[in-house]
This record gives sequence, C-alpha cells and structure tokens, in this order.
Amino acid sequence: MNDRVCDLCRQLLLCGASNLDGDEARILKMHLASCGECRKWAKRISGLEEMEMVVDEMQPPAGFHNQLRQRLLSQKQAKLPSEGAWERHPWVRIGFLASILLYGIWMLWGGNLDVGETVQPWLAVSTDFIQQTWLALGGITVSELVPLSASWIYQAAAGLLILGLLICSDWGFEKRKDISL
Amino acid sequence: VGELAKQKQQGVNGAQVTPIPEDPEEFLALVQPWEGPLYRHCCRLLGNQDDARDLCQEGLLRAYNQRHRYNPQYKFSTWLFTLTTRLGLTEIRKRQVTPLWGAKPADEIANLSDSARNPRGRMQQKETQQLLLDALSRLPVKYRVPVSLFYEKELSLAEIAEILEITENLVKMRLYRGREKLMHMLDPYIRNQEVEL
Repeated sequence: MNDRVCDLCRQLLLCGASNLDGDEARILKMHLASCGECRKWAKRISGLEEMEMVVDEMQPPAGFHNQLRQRLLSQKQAKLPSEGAWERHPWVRIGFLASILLYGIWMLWGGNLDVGETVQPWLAVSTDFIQQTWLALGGITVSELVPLSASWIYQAAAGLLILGLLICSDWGFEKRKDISL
Repeated sequence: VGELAKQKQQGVNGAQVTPIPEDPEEFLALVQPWEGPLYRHCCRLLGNQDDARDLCQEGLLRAYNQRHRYNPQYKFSTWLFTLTTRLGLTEIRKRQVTPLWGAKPADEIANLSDSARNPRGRMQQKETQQLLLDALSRLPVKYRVPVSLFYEKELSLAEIAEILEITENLVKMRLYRGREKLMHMLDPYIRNQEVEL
C-alpha cells in the first residue's frame, strides 16, 4: 500500500507542483511529511528543476529577429510564379509528352496508313491551299507533299486541340500561391 | 464561457491576437514575445542551438504562411507550439539521429554520466545547459516532446495534450516517465550539486 502511495507521490512530483489540484497537493504534502524516501526524491527533483531553470535562461541568438524579418519580407516580395497544372499534376506532363509522341508517329506514318483518305470538298480546298502556301514558303516539291491529305488536317487539328486543352486546363487550375515551406 | 473564450484569445500580456495580421511587421511584433520560448523548445527538441534557430524560424514562417488557418478559439501560443513541434518531429524523423521510440544504448548514457561527474566542480551555465540538452536528446521522442513543452510555464497540461493530440492522462504518464529517465541520466550531476551545496 505504502509503495503505491510512494509511486503516486513521485508521479505527482514529476508532473509538476503547479499542475496539481487541491486534493493531490494535500495528499502529497501529507505523504512527504511521513516518508523519508519520497522527501529524498523531492530533493532530487528540485535539483533537476534547478538545472531546467538554467535552460529557461537561453535566448535566441543575436540577429534572430532581424533574420526572421528578412526572410519574411523576402518571401512576401518574391511570391513564386504561378504553379500551374504542369507542376501540380504530373499526369498533365506525361499526357502532353505522350500526345506529342503519338502525334509525331502519326505524322510520320500517316501517309502510309490511309487515314482520312476520303477528302471532303472543303478539305480538298483547304489542303490545296496549304500545299500552295507551303510550296510558296519552303519550295518543297509536290512529291514531298504526297502524304499530305485530309489526314494531315485531322492530325493538325488534333494537335491543336490537345494543345488548346492543355493551355485551358492550365489556366483553369492556375492560382497564385505564396511560397510554402 | 465568455470569459474562457476571451482568455483563449489572449496572447502574452493579455494582448488580443486575432486575426493574425498580414503585414509582416505587425506579425513580427505579435510573435516576438514567443521567439524565446519557441527557441528554447526547439533547442530541447533538437539538442543543438544552430538547428534550433532554423527550426524556430521555419515554425514562425509557417505560422505566417498559414495564418488563415488559425482558429481564434484556441490560444495563439498553443497554435505556434503545435506548428513548430510538428516541424521539429518531421526534422527528427528525417535525420533519424536518435531512435524514435527507443532509448539510446546504455553506454551512451554512461558517457553522459561520466561527463556529469566532471571534477571541475560547479559547471558553468553553458555546460549545464548543454548537459541538459544532451540528456533530453537522449530521451525517446515520445517523452522528449511533452517534457520540453512542460518546461514552458505558459502551457498547461491540457494544452500540451491538445498540441500532441493525446489525452491529458497520457501526457502525465509521459511526463512522469520522461522526467524519471532524465533524472536518472542526470543523477550524478544532481548529487554532485547537492554535495557542493
């Protein structure tokens, strides 16, 4: 029984006298008056508390406050550029690269795959116009433009669509953020 | 209830702390009284004053960046200590300097006791500080954190429980075990002091 009271007494002492309620403080006082071992404990704890008080005198190093001010102000001024969908969602980057790759393959092999060989009248006009422009700008021969057909228009449109979607999604997600730690 | 809510909203010297100002200068003025206590807490957590300075600054910067998340129903100091303690725990886990949930090998504690038996008599204040910080850094983290918070007289056991998200009884238990271990580690030094006195 006495051991249990001693345990309780030591627990109370180690939890700090300031945290004891009235009953606990009374029990402690009564027990300490009658138990020499616990009085020794109390003395050792007061020795520990003296050491702890030395640490309480530690102060932040000189310049701490100014350094903190500088960091705070520089952080306030230099807000990070907007972090778009590109950075936040890796799948956007992966999707973008994959679509470029697919688009490249499609461009290279499109002529041999008979994609969109059925040329609509308005597309025929368009392709003809593009071919003419291309020729005028680059002087490329007609034979080089053989793979250019309606499929080329589809490919270009698909590429532009992907690019547009990516840009729109980036704008949609865009939100200015402070530098977060 | 009104009085309790009012008390909760009060910071050091009873200053109102809500809302947390956006202006950096005002924010700095608000946190200045807490720089010392937070710095000491960081020292006790990391056992190193340089790292403690960095951690303390990181904690205060995080408090500024997350000021919109502060709930004025709680004491400002509790919130500051919570943020800094979480950062400190992350830092400790990153480094894994000490085992998180286990004690240091006995020989290291013995070394500490040897240094505590330093025959030079009364140790200088700095040495005493370092001795205590060393002993604290040898405590398992689950005891070190409540013990460190316990030294801040501003924080009650209920607030420590709130910061650590554990029950008050568990805080008492960890305080008891932690300080008991600490006393065991520092016993030679404490006895030495008693003899000198």
